Amino acid sequence: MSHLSLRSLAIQQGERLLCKDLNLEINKGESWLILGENGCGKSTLLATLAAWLKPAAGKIQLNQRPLKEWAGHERAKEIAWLSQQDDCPFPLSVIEKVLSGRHPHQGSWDWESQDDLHLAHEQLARLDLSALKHRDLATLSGGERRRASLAATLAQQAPLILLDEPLSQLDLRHQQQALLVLREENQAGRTLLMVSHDPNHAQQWASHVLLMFGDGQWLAGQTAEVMNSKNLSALYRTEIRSACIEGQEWFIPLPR
Amino acid sequence: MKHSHLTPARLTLTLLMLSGLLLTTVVLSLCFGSTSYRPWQLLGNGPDAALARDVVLELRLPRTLAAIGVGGLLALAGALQQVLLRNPLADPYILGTSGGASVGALLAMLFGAGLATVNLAAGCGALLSITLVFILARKDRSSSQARLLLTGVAIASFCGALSSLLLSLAPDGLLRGMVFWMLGDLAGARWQLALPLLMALLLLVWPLARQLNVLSQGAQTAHALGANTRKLQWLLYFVAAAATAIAVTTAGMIGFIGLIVPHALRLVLGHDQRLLLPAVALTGGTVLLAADITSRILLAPQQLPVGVITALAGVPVFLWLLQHRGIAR
Repeated sequence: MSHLSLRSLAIQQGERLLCKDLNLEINKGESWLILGENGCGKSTLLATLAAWLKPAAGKIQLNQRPLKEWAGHERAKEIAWLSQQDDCPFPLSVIEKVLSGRHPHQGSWDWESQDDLHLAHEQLARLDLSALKHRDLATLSGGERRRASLAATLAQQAPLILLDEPLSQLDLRHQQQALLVLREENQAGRTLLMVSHDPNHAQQWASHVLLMFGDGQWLAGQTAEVMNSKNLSALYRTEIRSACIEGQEWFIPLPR
Repeated sequence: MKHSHLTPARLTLTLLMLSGLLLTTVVLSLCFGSTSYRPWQLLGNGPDAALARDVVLELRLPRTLAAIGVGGLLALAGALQQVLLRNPLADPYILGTSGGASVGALLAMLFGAGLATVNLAAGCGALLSITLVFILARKDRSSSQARLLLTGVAIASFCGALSSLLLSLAPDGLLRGMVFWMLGDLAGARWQLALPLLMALLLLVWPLARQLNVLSQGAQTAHALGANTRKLQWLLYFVAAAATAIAVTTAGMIGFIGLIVPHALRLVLGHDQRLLLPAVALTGGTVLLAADITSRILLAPQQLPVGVITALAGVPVFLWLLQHRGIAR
């Protein structure tokens, strides 16, 4: 069933047209990886799907209803968006950050319930953050802070999750752990869109891939159809080869 | 500091403690002054007790209430301004509201107006600068509120220049009063506007506290969590500006309360606005009242403008905070 549908969508940043005539049907439970060069519009696309930016043209429908008709508090129960901004100038502990993900589910006078607290602790445990829960975000490393933001996004429990480079600051073990967590979210029926700079995340995680070329062109489809060294070499404008290890195809850039 | 999340029990306990502190300071303020009384001297039927009651009820109580209102308004304005600009060191005077008020007040004084007219002129000046900043900055879509900040700072500097011009044109006879107004002074300050407005504004923003928590994490994060960020930001701007305008109109430009009280409390209590907003409103009053007591007894019977005391005590405290805690990144 269609969860998010994009019709002739165009996105623009200043004068630059980043993507045009984008038509996508994203169905419930799919996992989409978005790949492309720096500045090709990946983050702008996610911000547009989160209703933070307005599209330059075209329509977005969430659950068959135009996205712009959704009120903020309704939308926040349906879409979670992890942007790249996760600095906080004020003191904020990891547990407070994660509990803030429950905000859309609470009325003005509600206090965090035991269920909220339980859910928050669960997300911390899944991302190896339990020992850090009372630490101030400012004292964490970039990767730890990123995981705390991801935990807050997951605590929101939205059926559609937009993730803007959640893994790029993470070490290899924590990347694999986070990918496992995201796979579990998919299995729970959630729809995920993730921006990444590592094409190998597609093979490990994604059911579908969107390649954005930055000049308005795009290519989308199932992972097996889209992911090959020819498409990736064109996307990154550098030669990319594939190697087969234990039956799995991996993509490696050739040194210049 | 290690801090876990806020619970209703911690909220209630902290607010009770801060209220106790405020009440103690109120008792001190009523008892200390050019003549000091012990609380039980106010009771009884003799002429001494009646005189003491007159001094306390007619002179000290209104001034005490005004200090609580003004201090609370300045601290509340500072706390809201810090969330709005996402800067823990923002000050209620930074966006030009007080600058407009001081131009209005000084202009009225230059024409020899009485206290009521001076206050009215200060209010009009503040309103003018609030409106001007809003019109110039209302298209700000940046997440850092950069345009609002720069517009406010520019208007504030311009008002500062106008105030200097007015001071340099003033005849010697008026100069003392004008300088006192600029420093901030509680003598003759009325509580009838400041205190009810403090309560009204606090009741307006307190229910939004959790939304302000998510806004503090950044506009995009707040948007993702369902907050209407632009509406919230302008509401913050207008509430902070109204609080500043009333405080400045009541007692002149009392410095540092609006910067230091929220900043210091945040370091001790954490940033959760559900606690921080009522806590700064209570503590702002306590701190200004303590400064006012000091200003009355330091060189008694001479009374110093309270703004001198807050600045003299506030600057070292501020520098100490900077040295020990640093600016959060």
